[in-house]
Amino acid sequence: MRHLRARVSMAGVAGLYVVAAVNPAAAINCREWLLLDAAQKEAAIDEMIGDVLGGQRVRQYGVNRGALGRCLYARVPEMALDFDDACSDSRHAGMQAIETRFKTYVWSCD
Amino acid sequence: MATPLRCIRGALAILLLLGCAGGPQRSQPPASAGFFAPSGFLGDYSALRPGGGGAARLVYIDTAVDFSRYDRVIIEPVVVWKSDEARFVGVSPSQREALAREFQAEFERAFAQEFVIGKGDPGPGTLRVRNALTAAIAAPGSADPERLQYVEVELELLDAVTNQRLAAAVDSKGARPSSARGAPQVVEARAAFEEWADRAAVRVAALRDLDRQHQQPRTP
Repeated sequence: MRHLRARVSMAGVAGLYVVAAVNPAAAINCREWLLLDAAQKEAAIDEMIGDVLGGQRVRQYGVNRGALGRCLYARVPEMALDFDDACSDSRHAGMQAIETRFKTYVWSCD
Repeated sequence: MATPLRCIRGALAILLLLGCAGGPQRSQPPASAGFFAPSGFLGDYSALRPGGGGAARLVYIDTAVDFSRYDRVIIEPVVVWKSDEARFVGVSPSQREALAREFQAEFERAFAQEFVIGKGDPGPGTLRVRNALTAAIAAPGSADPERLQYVEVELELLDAVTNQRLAAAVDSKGARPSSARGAPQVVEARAAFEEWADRAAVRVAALRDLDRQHQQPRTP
């Protein structure tokens, strides 16, 4: 049991390292995603949303940016499950699997 | 040992795979799109999917597209799509055209804050926006064309050079007379057009900025 906890803990540290090592502006890939625990996944999605909302030009639109942000943040748990599914299918989980799904959320969120 | 949750997820995955199995291409939206009857403006609706709770009724995006390269946009004149006269009850042809011009102006205003508005000659890095007013039904007892019971629009984003469809959406506000229950909600046309235009411009800009940021090299 102790060994298991140690492994989980190591995986968590590795996951944190992955998140920290990734440029905030860079897309996360499935290999990195699968190392994260639930909280780290949500943090990674929060960061992706921040990338969308933090764009210099998007920032000009306070009200609409806020609406897009509220919609995206409300769907973080759904996105985490969706990204899990995208990455669990080894045949189709390419480097852009998460990014492509995230784009769909950006376009359709209302 | 498989947990019940895993079994359920496995069953759902199988159902999803079966649902995705190749079949004939349809020009109609999926049945899950509900009561939506396509106006015909977008031509092929088979790739559009329900937008989900609160979202546009039908949406499509080509996620493989690199939006970072687009910095210009050509906004085509908004079309009044007269596929069915029942879609424009109580709104005269001249009023429909006025609404279309209003919608056009809102799109030009919104996109001008994000993109260079191009005219005519499309070059690389240019988006083309096609819009249609596909329904506008006057509010009961109102002669003001700005006050509608139901309004519906369709939007398509294309690469101006290749004509590749990059994204599309179908959305509406209000309720059709046949589906309205109780006192019909009044939709202010200008506010609806403004909201749709801002949403579209912000989302396209967000996708562009996302792609631009994701192209930056990673730092260790």
